[in-house]
Amino acid sequence: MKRYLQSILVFDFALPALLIGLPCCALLWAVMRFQSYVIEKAEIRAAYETQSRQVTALGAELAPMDPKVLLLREMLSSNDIEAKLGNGIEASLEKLSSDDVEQTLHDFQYGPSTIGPNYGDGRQMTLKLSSRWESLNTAAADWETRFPNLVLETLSIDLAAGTAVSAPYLQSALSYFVVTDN
Amino acid sequence: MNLKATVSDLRAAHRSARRQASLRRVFSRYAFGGPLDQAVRWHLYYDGERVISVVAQGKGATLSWAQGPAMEIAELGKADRLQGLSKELSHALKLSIHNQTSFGVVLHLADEIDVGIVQEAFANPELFEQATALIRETPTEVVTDLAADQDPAIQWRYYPLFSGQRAVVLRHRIECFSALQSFTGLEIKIAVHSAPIEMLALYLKLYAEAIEEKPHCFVLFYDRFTVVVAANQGVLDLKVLPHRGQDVPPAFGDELFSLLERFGLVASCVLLLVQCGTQDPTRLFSELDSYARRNHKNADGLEIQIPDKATVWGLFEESAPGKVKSEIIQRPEFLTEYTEKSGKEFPLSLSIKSDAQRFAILSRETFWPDDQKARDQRLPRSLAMTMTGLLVARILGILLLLGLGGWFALSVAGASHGDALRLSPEMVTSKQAELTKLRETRQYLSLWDKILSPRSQAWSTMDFFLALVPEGREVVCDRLKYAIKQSEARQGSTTANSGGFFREWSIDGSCTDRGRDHLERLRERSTISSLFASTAIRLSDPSFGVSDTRSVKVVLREESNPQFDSGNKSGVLPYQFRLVVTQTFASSDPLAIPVMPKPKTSKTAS
Repeated sequence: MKRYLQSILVFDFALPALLIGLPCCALLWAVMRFQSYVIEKAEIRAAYETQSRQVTALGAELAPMDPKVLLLREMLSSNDIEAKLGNGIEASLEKLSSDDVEQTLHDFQYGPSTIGPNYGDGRQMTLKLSSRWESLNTAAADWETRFPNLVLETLSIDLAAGTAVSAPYLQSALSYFVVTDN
Repeated sequence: MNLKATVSDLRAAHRSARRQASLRRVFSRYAFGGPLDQAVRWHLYYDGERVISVVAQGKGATLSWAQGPAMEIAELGKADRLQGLSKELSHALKLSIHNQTSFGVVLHLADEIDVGIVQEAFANPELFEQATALIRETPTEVVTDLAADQDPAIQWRYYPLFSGQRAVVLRHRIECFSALQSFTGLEIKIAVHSAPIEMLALYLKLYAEAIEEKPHCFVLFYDRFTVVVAANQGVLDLKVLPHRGQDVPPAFGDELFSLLERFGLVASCVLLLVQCGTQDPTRLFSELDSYARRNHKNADGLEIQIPDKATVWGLFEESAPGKVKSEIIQRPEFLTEYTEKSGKEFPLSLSIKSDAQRFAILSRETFWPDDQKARDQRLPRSLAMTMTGLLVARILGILLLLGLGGWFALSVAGASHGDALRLSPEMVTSKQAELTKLRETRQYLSLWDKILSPRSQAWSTMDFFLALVPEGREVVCDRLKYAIKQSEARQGSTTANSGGFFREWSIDGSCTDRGRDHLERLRERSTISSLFASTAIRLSDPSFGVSDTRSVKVVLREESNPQFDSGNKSGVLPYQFRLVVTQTFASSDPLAIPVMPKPKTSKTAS
């Protein structure tokens, strides 16, 4: 009986466990791993398709804004900002006659904004002008449209001496904080 | 080399085990039972002169008898003939019994019997368990004067006689051992019973009550030997008297009287002469009579009886009414079929009834070699079931393996045709980068839209100055000032994302009474709010809008103008004033100043 038991243990249990059980376990492991791999890939595929749809939608949404982005980048760049601003303001003023508006000071300084720390440090532009009210208003509207990154910090307008009653001519001082991206 | 031999041995053992553990056998009720447990038992009675063949089928109430295949004595020693007869029998059985795989062959031997001398160590009958086991393995340790090398055809068995305080060992020689050995197999199970012991068991049962009243002496008269058994409240002794070629045992009288005298039974005893062979037992009576006369023995106390044959057959009429027919069964020894199975506990008490039970059990003792080696060659049913279970597990394992293989192949095939596996990591990375870039662009636009929302512009500021004062010459402005500053609540705090601020318009000038009234009205909340709201609409500038997160405060300081003359010829107006309008934006306001992006953000956006 002992021999039978030994032979059964060897030929009916140990060998089949080795020849069938181990491959079964290995195959089961492989199947499970492959299934996990396929599920992972399917998830990646689904994510990829979602991203594709998002890219399409976002692309369509942002396509009309490409020129705006370029303009913004150009405008917000601090490279040669003083020259750009100077030229822009000159261009605005050139639209008007020198009798209407005359620039008396154009100055740049670097430092913190009076509006608060959120803007951080940056350039401040000071303009002093002799002008009529309407001309100043038109010129300011022009350069502020040209440069939306100009934040008016202070403005003072005084009547020029001797013009109190008729044909008012104004002495104005404008201080702008120039918002840039760096 | 040893390992090779071991593996070879194991393979041989496994082959044998597999042969014995066939499904047919495992699911058979009889395959693992002994010869007497089989549904069909082929009883062969052999007394040296003839063979009686009878087949028993079923058990208990369903037990039935039939004539067995006719056999000559010579056929008993021929294996091929036995095979042929067994095939005929099997064929017939398969037709009549469902799921029959095996049958038992019970050979009842009455050709010769011998009594040996028990080794002193086992003379005490209480050692019967040990002696019964040992005599099968090494009979020389139980029986004296035996050669060490025993012929397996010669078998000894141990019989304890508790009432006689002794034990006897009986020997049978199985003449047809070789033929039976080649005949036996998985499907044919052989038992060899001692016919005289079976007969004794029957008569002890039959005469148990009578023996309790008066001592008996059974004389079992076979053709080649006679067995004499003395019983008084139990079996006292057993003697075998071979006939040695004569009709009756030589010196029968001597042997009988010496036995009776030894137990003091001559004075009162029933002498039962039982015809077990073909010879009439009156011959024994004659022999005894002549012996008593010759030797002047007083046999007056001996009551001699010759039992009617029908008596013993009638013994089982109650348990199997109408089924015990002597003309079919032919031999009373076969009636041990009706005795209870030997699995019953061996009774140990001293009484004739216990002896009757003991001999009923002992009568089913087989003389077929059944030593440890023979037992080791038989696969137990539990192991056969285990093998079958493992076989099923193996088949399931193979199916599982195939199933897993198929599943794996299908999974691979299915996945290879799908899009999921074709997607390269570069595509994913590229799409992710594209999406990230677009998101950053949107975030960049959103952020800068918020940052660059008009909060403080000269043109709108100037326009609001005009809205504050009435048209005409009622109010003359000398100086206008505007400033935007950080709210005090925000100052010093860097935790909030957005910063509140306020805008302040300040006008210094002079006015008339009407102008003064106009300015006075600006101090009313509804007037100034309405002014801001209308400016917001007019200029399309939300920074002038009114909301809960914004507040407006108006401070007006006025005084008489010292330069004013009542004639007003210089055009100087009668009042001087300072109007300060302050609009405050809370940090929760949509136009609150957001934190500027760090330089790297814009770099990424670019």
